[in-house]
Amino acid sequence: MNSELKNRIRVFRAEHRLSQAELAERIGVSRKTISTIEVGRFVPSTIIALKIARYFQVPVEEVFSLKEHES
Amino acid sequence: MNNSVRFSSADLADRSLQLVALSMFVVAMLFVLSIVEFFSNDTVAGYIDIVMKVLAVGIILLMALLITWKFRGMSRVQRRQYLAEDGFLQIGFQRAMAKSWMISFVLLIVLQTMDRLVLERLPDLPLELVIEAVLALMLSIFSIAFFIFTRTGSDNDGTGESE
Repeated sequence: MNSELKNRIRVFRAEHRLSQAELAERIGVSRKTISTIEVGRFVPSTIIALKIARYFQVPVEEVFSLKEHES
Repeated sequence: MNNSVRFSSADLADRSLQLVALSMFVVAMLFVLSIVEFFSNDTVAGYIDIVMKVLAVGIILLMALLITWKFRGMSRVQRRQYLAEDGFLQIGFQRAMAKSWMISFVLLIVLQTMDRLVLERLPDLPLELVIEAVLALMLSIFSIAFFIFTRTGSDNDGTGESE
């Protein structure tokens, strides 16, 4: 069974009216890191995932979730 | 209103990694040219020598750019923090290094096991040239792998909601 990491960063960004660059600067990563996480190209480290969740003041499971695929 | 693009320290760190990878590619090309020079006649070798000097100056300029312009806005703490950050480009850099080592290792092992087919047919090469060939191989694989791994498509920075 394959797992895929889904995220709702774009939704949270829209709610907080933040650009990728602004979110990146506030959690101390590059804009490319945020954009590639957002489109699912890059799986972030636990530290980055926790920083994003902490910034939006939600549990990390609300930002990131696993989607299982039957292979 | 200031509309100029402002980069954060993390973005600058990303760009410095890209510059390092680009410099490594140029160094790999220098090694390749050095090998080509060995097999060339005097006229061609003269031209290659000029190209190598230009490339060497290019690398020095790239490094100067990296140290002065890219790192200028960062404190020592920021530099250490962001260069060690586990971001997209940093992970790409590590993956490219691993890939470069792996491919070079496999290629050298294959060459060694096929020494009667390949290596014995080559003319006697100075050790310096062989080392340059291995370095060129590793550096070029590294830099190409880095640019492939960190290549991104559209960079949408919108705040629109979609899922």
